[in-house]
Amino acid sequence: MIFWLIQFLPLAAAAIILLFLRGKHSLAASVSVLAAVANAVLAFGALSKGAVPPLRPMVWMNVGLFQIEFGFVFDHLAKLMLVVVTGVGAVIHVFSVGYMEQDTGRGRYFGYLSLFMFSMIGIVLASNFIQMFLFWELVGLSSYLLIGFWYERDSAAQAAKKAFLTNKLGDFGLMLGILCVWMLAGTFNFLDLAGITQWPPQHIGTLEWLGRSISLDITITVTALLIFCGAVGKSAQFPLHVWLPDAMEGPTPVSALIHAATMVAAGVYMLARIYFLISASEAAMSVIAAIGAITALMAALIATQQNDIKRILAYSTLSQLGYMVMVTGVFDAHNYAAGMFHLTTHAFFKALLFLGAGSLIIALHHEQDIWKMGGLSGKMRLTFLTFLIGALALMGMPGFSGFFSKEDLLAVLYLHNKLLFGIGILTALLTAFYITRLLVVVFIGLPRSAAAMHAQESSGWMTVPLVILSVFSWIGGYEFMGIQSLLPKMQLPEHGHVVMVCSIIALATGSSAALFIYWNRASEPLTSRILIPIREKFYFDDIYNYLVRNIQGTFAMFLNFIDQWVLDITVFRGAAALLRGVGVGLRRLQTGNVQVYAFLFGAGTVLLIWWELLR
Amino acid sequence: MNFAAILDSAKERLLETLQLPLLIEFLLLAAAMSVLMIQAFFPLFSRRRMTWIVILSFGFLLVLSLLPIVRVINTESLVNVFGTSYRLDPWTMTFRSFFLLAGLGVCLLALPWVEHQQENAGEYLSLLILAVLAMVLCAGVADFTMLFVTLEFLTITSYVLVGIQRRNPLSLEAGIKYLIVGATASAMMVYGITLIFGMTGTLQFEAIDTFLRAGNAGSPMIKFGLLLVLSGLGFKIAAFPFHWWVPDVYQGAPLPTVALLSTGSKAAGFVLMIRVLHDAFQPMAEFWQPILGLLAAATILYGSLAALTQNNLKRLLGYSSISHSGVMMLGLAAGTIFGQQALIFYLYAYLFGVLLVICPMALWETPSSQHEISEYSGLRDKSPWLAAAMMVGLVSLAGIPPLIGFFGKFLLLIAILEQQLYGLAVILLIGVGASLYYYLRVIRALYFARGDIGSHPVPALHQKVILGALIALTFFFGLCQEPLWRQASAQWLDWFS
Amino acid sequence: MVLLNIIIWLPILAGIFLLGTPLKNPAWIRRFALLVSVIPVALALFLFLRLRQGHAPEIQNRLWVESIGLGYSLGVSRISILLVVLASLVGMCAVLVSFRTEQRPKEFFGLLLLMVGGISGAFSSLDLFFFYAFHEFALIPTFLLVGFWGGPERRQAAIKMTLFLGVGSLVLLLGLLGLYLKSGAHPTFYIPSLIEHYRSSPLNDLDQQILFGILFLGFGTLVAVVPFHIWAPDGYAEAPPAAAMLHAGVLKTFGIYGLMLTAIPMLPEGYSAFRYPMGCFGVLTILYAGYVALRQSDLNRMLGYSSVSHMGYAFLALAAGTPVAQEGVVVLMLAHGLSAALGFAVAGFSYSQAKTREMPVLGGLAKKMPAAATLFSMAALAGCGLPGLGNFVAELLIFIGSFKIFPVLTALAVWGVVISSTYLIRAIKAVFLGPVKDNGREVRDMTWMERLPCFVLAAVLVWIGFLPRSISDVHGSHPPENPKQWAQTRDPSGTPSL
Repeated sequence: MIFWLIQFLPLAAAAIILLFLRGKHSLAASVSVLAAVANAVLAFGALSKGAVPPLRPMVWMNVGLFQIEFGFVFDHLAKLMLVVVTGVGAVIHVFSVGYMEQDTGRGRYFGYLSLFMFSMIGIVLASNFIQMFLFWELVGLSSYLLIGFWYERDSAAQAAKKAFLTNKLGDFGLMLGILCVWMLAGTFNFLDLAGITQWPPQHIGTLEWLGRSISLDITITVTALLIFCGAVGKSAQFPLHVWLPDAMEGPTPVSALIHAATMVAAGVYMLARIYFLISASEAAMSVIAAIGAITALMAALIATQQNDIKRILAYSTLSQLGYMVMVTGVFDAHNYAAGMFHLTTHAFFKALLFLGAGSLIIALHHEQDIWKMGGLSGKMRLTFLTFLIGALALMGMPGFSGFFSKEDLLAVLYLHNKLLFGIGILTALLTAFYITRLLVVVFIGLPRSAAAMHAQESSGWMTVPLVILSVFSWIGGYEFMGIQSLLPKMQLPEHGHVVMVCSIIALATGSSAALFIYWNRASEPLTSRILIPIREKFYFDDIYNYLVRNIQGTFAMFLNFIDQWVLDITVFRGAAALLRGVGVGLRRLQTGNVQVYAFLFGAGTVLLIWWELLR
Repeated sequence: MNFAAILDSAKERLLETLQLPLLIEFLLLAAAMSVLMIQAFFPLFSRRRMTWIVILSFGFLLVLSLLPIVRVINTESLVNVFGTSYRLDPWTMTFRSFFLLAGLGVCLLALPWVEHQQENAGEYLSLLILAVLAMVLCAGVADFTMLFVTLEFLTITSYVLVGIQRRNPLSLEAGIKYLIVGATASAMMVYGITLIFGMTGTLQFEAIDTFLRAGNAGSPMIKFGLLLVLSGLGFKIAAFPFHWWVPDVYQGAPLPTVALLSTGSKAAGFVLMIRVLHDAFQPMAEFWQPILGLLAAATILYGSLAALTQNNLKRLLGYSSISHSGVMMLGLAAGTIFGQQALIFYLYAYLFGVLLVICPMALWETPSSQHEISEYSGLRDKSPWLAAAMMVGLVSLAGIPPLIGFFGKFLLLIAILEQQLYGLAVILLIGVGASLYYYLRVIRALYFARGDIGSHPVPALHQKVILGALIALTFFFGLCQEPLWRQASAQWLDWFS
Repeated sequence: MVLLNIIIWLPILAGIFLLGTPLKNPAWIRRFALLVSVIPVALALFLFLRLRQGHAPEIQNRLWVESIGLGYSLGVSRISILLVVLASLVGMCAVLVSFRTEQRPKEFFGLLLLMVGGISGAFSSLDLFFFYAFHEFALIPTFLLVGFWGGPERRQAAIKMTLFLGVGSLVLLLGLLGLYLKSGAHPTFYIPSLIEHYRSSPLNDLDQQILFGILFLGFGTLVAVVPFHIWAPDGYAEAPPAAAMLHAGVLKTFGIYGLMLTAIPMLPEGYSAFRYPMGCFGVLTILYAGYVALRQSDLNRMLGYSSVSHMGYAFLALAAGTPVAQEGVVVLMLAHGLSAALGFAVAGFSYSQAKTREMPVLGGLAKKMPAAATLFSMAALAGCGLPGLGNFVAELLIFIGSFKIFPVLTALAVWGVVISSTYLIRAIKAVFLGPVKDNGREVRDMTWMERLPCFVLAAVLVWIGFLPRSISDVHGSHPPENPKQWAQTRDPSGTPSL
C-alpha cells in the first residue's frame, strides 16, 4: 500500500496542479512541495520495513496468457535510490519555492516537477522492464517539459527538443534491448530474470540473423549493449552526451534535480538493476567501461574551458557519470555498488553545487558567465560556504563524502584495470582543476560587473536547502550514515595506499595549478590555440548538426523529391495526362462529318468481319 | 337482373379485356392518335395539360403492365401474335414495364421543355408515345421480319424526335446524321438478314435455333450474316465501332429525346440483341460471346477515355452512354442468364441515373443553353435541389454505393467473374475508375466552382417532388435491391428453366 | 440488434433530414447534430460494456437478395464494437470541433452525420456487400466535405483523394467478389459462413495468393500504404478538421480491419505467402512516410504523412500475426484514431487563428494559446509513442509480438519511432515554442466549447495509455503458471495464431 502511495502521490499532485491550479501559483507550489516532502517521509518510513518480499503485481495489459504487469521491487538498490530521489527531490522542491518566486509560470513549473517525481519514482520501483521503460520515457517527457519551461526563449525550446530526441535515440536501443530480453528469456520481470545465468539452455532463446541462430554469447552481448544504449542516452554518455550541457537552459533547480542528481543517474541505476545480464558478457562490459572512461575524461577536459557556471557544472556531471559507468563496466561481482555509492554522494554534492549556482544566478539577476562574477565570497557568505563544501566533496577532499565514494571507485579500477585507473586519476586531477578555477573566479578577486557588485544573499527558502545538502555532502560518505549498508558488500582485496596517494596527489596538483593560473585574473588566461578543440567541446555539436542536417536531411529531401515529383507528378499526374491525351485523340475521330461517320461505321464492320472470319 | 350478376359479368369482361394480348400496345397507339387529334382539332389546348395527360396515361399503363393479373396469366401460357412473329412472354412483360417507365420519365422531362418550345407539342408527344410503342413491340420480336419492322418503326420515330427543332440548326443536323448513319446500319442489317435467310431458309428465331442445333453452327456465311445483324443492332445500342453518331446527336437533340435515346432506344437494342442471340443463335454462343466481349471492352474504353476531357455536358452524357453500353454488353458477353438479368437490372439503374441527371438539365435549360459544364458552375448555390438531384444521378451512374447504379455494376461484375472473364473485369474497373473522374468533374463544377448564372427558372414544388421521389428511389433500390431485382429477373428464370 | 441499427441509421437519417430540411437557424441545427451524434456514443459504449461482461455478441442476419445470397447482416465483436465506439466518439468530437461552422452549417453537419453513420455501418456489417457499400457510402460525404469546406487547394485534393480511394475500392471489390464466387455452389456474402467455408475447404494455393494480393492492394490503398499513399497528405492537408479527423482517424482503419476480418482468416495460404512482403510494405511505409514528413513545412501535410507512417505498424503486426501483435493492431487503430483526430482538430484551430499552416512562419503560439499547445503536444507525443498515451501500448505490443517473427523489420520499425519523434517534436517547437512571430500576435486561445472535444479525445487517449486492460480481451485469459514455461511453449508473442 505504502508503495502505491509513494508512487502515485506525485501523480495526483501533478494532475491536480496541471488541471486546476495552473494559475494559482502559491497553492500549486504548496501542493507540490507537500507531496514531495510527504513522499520523502514515506520513503524513509519504508526503509524501516527491511527486505520486502516481492509485491503482488497488478496486470497492466494482457493478451490471453501474455501479461505485462505493474508491480514494485523494493530491494536494497531501490531503497537507496528511492531515498536519494525523494530526499534530494524534497529539498529541491523547497529551494524552488524561493528560486521561482518571481516567475509567472510557477504553477506549471510545480506541476511538471511533480510529474517528474512520479516518473522517477516509477523507474526506481519498477518491477519489470516494460514498466521501467514506461517511466523511463515519462522521465524524458518531464525533462523535456522542464528544459523547455521558458519556451519563449528559442534556445530553451531548442535545448528541450535536443534533449528529447537524443534520449529517444538511446531509447531506440533500449527498446530493442528489451525486445531481445524477451526473446532470450520470455519474461520482463527483473526477479524472474535474475537467475537467467543459471537457466537450462533450452529455456533460453537466441536471436536469429539471416535464418541462422546466433550463439548465446553474442546474443547476450548484443542485448546488454542495446540496453546500455538507453543508459548512454539518459546518463548522457559519449557519444550522446551533447544534450546535457544544453539542458542547462532549464531553471536551475531543475538542473540540480534532474540533470545532476537523479534522472541522469537513472542509467547507472538501470545498469545496476540488470547487472546479472551485462556481467554475463565480457565484451559488453569492456565497451561500457570504455564509454564511461571516454566520457569522464572528455567532459572533464571540456569543463576546464567553459565560462558559463551551469555548463561547467554540467560537464562536471557528465564526467562524474562517466566515472560511475566506467566502474560498472569493470568485471567483478557487485562492482556496481561502487558506482551506486558514488551516485548517492554525487547526488548530494552536485545538487548542492547547482543550487548554489542557482542562488548566485538569482542574486546576479540571471547572470551566468563566471567572468562577470567575482568577489562574491564576502557578499554571499552562506552560499559561498555551502558551495565550497560541495566543491570539496566533488574534488574528493579527504573527509568529505566524495572522497569515500571516489576512493572505492578508484580502488576497484586499480585492482582490475590499470589503464582505467590512470584515466580515473587524470580525471580527478582535471576535476580539482576546474572546480578550483570556478571557485577562484567566482568568489575571489574583484567584482567584474555591476550585478556582482550589488549581489545580496538569497532568501531562506534557498539557503536552508543549501545548508541541508551541504551537511549531507560533508558527512554522507561516513559509515554511520548507513549508505554503504544499503549496498552489497564489496570484497576489495588489500591494495595498500597507492590509490589514496595517487588521488591526493592529483587533487593537490589540480587545485594548485588552478589557483596559480586563475588567482586574481579578470579574463581567461589560457588562450592557446591548442585549447580551441576543448573550448569548442571537441566539435560534437557540429558533427551532429552535420549528420542531422546533411545526411538525414538530404535523405529526407531525396525521399520527398521522389514523393513529390516521381510518385505524384510523374506517375499519378502523368498517368492522368496520358489518359486525357488518349481521350483527346479519340475525340479527334469525332469529326462531326457524317460521311466520315458512315465510313467509319462501314470500316468497323468490315474490320470486325475480317478479324472474325478471314484472319 | 340483380346487381351482383351485373357486377360479376362486368368483372369477367374486365378480366377478359385485361388479358387481351396486345391491350397495352393498343392503348398506346390510341393515346398517340388522340394526342394528334387534340393537337389538330383543338390548337389552343394547353400544352402543359396535354403533357400531363400523356404522363398520366403512361403512369396508368405502367401500373397496368405491372398488375399481376396481366402478367401472371400470360406467364402460364405463352401467346403468339401475328402468326409466330410476335410473342408475349415474361421477358416481354419485363421490358414492356421498363419501356413504359422510361416513357413516363421522358414525359416528365418533356414537361418543362414542351412548355418553352415553339414547336408543336402534340407532334412531339405523339411521336414519343409511338417510339415507346415501337420499343414495346421490340420486346416481343420472334422473327427477323418483325425485328426489322419494329426497329425501323423505332428508328424513324427517333429521327423525327431528334430533328424536331426545325429552327435549331444543331437539332436538324443531328437528325440528318442520325438518319444517314441509321440508314447505313439498316442496310447492313437487311443484308445480314438475307444472308441468314439464304443459309437457313427461315426467318423465325426458333426455326433458326433448330437449324443450327442440327449441326450447321459452323457455317461462315451464317457468321457473316450474324455479324452484319450485330452491327445493325450495335448502332442502336451505340457499341464501338458503331457509335459515331452518339455525341453529335446527343448534343443536337432536345433533352427529352436524349433521355429516350440513351435509355429506351438503347434498351430496345439490347432486347433485340438478347432475342437474336438467345432465341436464334444460342448454338453459336461460342462464336458470338468473344465478339461481344471484345466489343464491350472497346466500347467501355472508348467511351470513358473520350469522356475524360469533354466539356459539354450533353456530349459527355453521350460518351458516358457509350461507356455504359459497353458495361451492359458485358452481361451478354458473360453468356449466362444471370448476365442478362444483371443487364436488365443495369438498364433500370441507368434509367434512374440518366433521368436524375437530365431532369435538372431540362429544368435549368434556357433557349440559349449550350450545356457546357461551366454553365452549371455553382448550380448548388442557385438551386440546391437541382444540384442534389444531379449529383445523386452522377454518383449513381459512377457506381458508388448505396445508390442503385452500384448494384447494377456489382451484378455485372459477378456475372463476368463467374465466367472467369478476368480481363473484362479489369476493363470494367478501368472504365469505372475513369468515369469516377469525369463525373466528379461535373460534381466539382456543380458544387465547388463559383459561377455567375443568368436568370433561370426555379423548380416548382411538383418538380421538387418528382426529383425527390427519383432520389428516394435511387437510394431505396440501392439498399433494398430485391423488388427491382425480381422485376428484372424472377420471371426470366421461369422462362428459361 | 436494434441498438446497432440505431447507431448506424440514426446519424444517416438525421443527416438526410438535415440536408433536406428547410430549417435555417444555425443554433438549432448545431444542437440537433450534437444530440444525434451523442446518442450513438452512448449506445456503442453500452454495447461494448455488455460484450465485455461476457454477453454473447449479437448477430443479425437477414437475407436481402435471396437468389444471390446477399443479406443485411450486422454483428459486432470486441474489435469492431471498439471501432464503432471510436467512430461515434470521433464523430461527436468532429461535430463539436466544427460547432461554429458558419459556412452552410446545415449541409456541413448533414454530411458529417452521413459519414459517421456510414463508418459505423462499415465496421458492424457482417455481409461483404454492405461491408463494402457502407465504406463507399462514407466516401461521398468525405469528398464533398473536403471539396467544399476545405483549404485553398481543396478541389484538387478532393478529386485526387476520391479517385485513389475509388479505384482502390474497385480493386477491393474485385477481391471481395472473388471471395464470394469461390465459396461453393451456393455462394454467400455472409462473412461468418465464408470463414467457415474456407476453413473447411480451403482454396488452392495459387487462388489464395492471387486473391490475397488483390485484397491487399485494395485494402492497402485505402490505408494509404506506400506507394499508394499520395492522396493522403494532400487530402488531409486540405480537408476541414472534422473530415480529416473522421477519415484519418477512423475511416482509414477500415483497410486494416478488413484484412483482419476477411482476407487473413479466409485465405491462410495466401496470407502466409504474403506475410513477408506485407511486413516489408509496413516498414517501408513507416520509414518512407516518416522521412518525407521530416521535410514538410506545412503542418497539416506533416500530420498527414505522420498518419500514413503510423499505419505501417499495423501492417507489420498483421504480417507477424501473433495474438500479441494482433492486439497491438486493435489498440493502434483506437489510439491512432484518437491521436490523429486530436492532432487534426488542434491543427485546424491553429490554422483558423494564425491563418497559415506553414511551420517556418509560425512560432510561439503557446504564449497566446496554451490550451491548444498542450492538446497538440499530447497528440504529437502520442505519435512519438510516449507512454501514458494509447499509442505506446499499441506500438509496444506490436514490437513484442513481431520481434520473434521479423527481428530486423521490427528493429527498423522501432527506428520509425525515432523518426516520428523527430518531426513531431520539431513541429511542436516550430509552431508553439520559441519567440512569438507575426502570425501569432492576433490569435486567441480555444474557448471551453472548443476545448471540450479535444479534452474528450485526449482523456480517452490517456485512459487507454494508463489502463490498456480496460479494452483488452478479459475473457479467455488465464493467469500464467510459470512465465518461463509458457514463454517456451505457448508463447502468444511467438506463434502466429492467424
